[in-house]
Amino acid sequence: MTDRRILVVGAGPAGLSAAATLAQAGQRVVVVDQAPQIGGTVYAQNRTGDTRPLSHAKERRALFDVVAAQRERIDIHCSTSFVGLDYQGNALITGADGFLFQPKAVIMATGARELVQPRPGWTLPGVTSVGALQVDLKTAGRPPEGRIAIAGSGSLLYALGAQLTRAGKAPAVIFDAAHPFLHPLATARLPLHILQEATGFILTLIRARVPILSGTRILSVEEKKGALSLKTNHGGRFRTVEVDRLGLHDGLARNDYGLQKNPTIPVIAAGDCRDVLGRFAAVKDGNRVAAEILNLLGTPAPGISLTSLNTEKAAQRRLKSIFAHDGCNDLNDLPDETILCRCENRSVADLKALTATDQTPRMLRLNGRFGMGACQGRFCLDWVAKLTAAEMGSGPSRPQRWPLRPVLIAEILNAADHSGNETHIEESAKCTFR
Amino acid sequence: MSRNLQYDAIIAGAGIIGASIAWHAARKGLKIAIIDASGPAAAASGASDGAVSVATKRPGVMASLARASLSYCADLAEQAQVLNGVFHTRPSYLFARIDAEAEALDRLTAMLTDQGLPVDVMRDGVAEKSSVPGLGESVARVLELSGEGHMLGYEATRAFLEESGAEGHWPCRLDAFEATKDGVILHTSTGEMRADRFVLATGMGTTNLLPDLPLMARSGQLIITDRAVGNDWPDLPGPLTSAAYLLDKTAQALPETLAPVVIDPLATGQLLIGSSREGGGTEEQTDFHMARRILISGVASLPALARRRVIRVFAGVRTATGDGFPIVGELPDMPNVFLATGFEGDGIGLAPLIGREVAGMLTGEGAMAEVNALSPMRFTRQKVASQ
Repeated sequence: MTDRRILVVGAGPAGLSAAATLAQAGQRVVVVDQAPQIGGTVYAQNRTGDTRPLSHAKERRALFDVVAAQRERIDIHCSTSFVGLDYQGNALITGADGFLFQPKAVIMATGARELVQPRPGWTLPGVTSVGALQVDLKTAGRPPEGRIAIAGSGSLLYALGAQLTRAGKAPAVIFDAAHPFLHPLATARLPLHILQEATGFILTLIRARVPILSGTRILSVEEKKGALSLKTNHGGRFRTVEVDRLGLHDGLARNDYGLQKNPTIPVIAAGDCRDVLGRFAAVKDGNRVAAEILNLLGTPAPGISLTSLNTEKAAQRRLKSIFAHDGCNDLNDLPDETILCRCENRSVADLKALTATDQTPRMLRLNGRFGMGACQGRFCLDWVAKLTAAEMGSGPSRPQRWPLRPVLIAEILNAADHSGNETHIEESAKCTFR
Repeated sequence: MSRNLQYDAIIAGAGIIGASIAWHAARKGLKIAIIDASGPAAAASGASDGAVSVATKRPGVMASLARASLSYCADLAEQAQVLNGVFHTRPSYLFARIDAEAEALDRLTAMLTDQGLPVDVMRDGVAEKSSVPGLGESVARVLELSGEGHMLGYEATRAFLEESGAEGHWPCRLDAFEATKDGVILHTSTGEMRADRFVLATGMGTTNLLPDLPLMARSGQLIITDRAVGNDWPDLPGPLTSAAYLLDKTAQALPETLAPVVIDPLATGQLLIGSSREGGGTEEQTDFHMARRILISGVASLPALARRRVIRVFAGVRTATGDGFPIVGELPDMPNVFLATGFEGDGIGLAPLIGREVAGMLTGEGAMAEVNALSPMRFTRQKVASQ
């Protein structure tokens, strides 16, 4: 059997709308997502039987209905990982029913990458990203125990703050490195749907009397008597705050991980994975990329208007200026013991200890061991690049090769081979290791 | 800004071979510059296993060179020497599953005794009595060797470069060179450079400058795993290599289920699993089918491997030659231009020795007979003979 369906990686707004557009044009599509359900991060649903209404329920329903109408042509695999592409254009999918096949094209719709800037203590237990706290809240249906601080920069701080408050657990404090409330003109020019949502978040936080300290950065985190002690800096005034959980968030970036160049098949990014424009734009971008793929395959494609995409782009530019701050420049002042690469436990001191011979992207990886652990640089290479760019001209390069995430050898062997290039060994291997 | 500098020798290629030549030549008092289109260890030296092996070499010149380099590595690894802390000896384990593999082990033990190699057989027998626990049912026999070496290509490259005091220039692409009677002129992306002598240690890159050389890329899939968690991983103090790997080197056809495999424990606690021998390729050219063949063979030999996670896969690109021997020596029609390439995966192990011998050629002292046998003259003679 030779499987040549189109692969869509990620079942969020961009991936689902791309799949629906392709299916409407008569294409057969495989959608994979590592989560146990479709919807992506934004439409994640709690799994514990909580029946309270979901946020964004209307948009979620609309998206799911479009997909449901095309169920015959869309094959959705949840709790399934896309391992990557090899140079011949084979795609490996692992999970409960993993397989190896050769898609006609790949759409990467894996969402944005959340940035968390290194600070002393950022790897302590109890410190996570804001995005991770949000997914936990949505899927577990209840907020975590203890006092929660949210810190960093970006609109997600307020979204999580409001969602925690509505779930009955207002955060103890929000520290924003930027001054988002000092930009009334830019704020007033945001599109109505964003403004409405933002106002809702802020009102919820104000009603619950959540302290919002803008222009305040977290300098370090220490563990003290089972709690987290945060040292903050507000324009030169230093304070210490004690909490139990800390959510950090330093913005979102496009996700170029896994966007492997491939000589044999088209691979195109859609949604926040390509450009962080939010969920409204992601649906539109999914349509757009699907049309692009259809054109490449030489099949009739629907015309897609780009007006709404451009509106969202302008809105995101404004949001960026509202949340602009100079926190990243302080990377150079990080104390030596600050961990940069948490997988390999490499610190600022380790980076400084590297010699002249190590100042190439390649040697920074090989001898420096930065980005060589389980995450392959997903979380550290941006910061290592910023800290080394002065000497090197460019930061360490990210290899775009499989696997995109660590993958069990047993899972690689157990994947059924539908690539049209089967070998009989696969069957015998499966019997042994399944 | 154009440079117009005079060196005793310029070396193109900052891989382990070029770095070793630079270190040895600088020690002889030569003023050295080393240039590279991208930087140190940018090709095979940074994408390879670290085996400094005698046992996996073909008998004859290659085994003899490997033996000499292994004992030279040990000298350079002594206290306060350049490879101290970089080169180590460690045990290594070769196993056989079928008769053809067992016969390869017999040939190997005979060679180890006949040629007086510095590698000893610690144990040879059925898998159950081996000191490697957790071997798969298909493993019939294990040969345990002591005295083989390990040295990571990029660590040795760095050590040689830093201790050499040679001027490093990168990124600096070599566009052309002219051999004149007053020395060699290099035209590079950062300007013109001059030297009395010039060495090309540029691996596959050599074909851009000397397209007539019989060089070909032969890549191999390399798989890196995570660290073992818990106690379910058998203690493996050295690489576990299927004897099929020995058969592969002499190009014997093998059944698909017996793909050559080496499971090599890294100092980081991760494993390096290799490797195939494919025609052509770049580092990006990873192949699921080939990787699965290697992993199937690996899991059959060591079932606990199935529970490890793969974190990285890449293809190491070896530079092979038409006759299977490296090319080392002065080019016949270009005085003062020397070549050192075509090591096809033996470069890590041979680099210390080759560096020493090429440095001898640069000063006019000459080299040992086995290295002289690798001269590029052999291709010129072939051409003459066939005309």
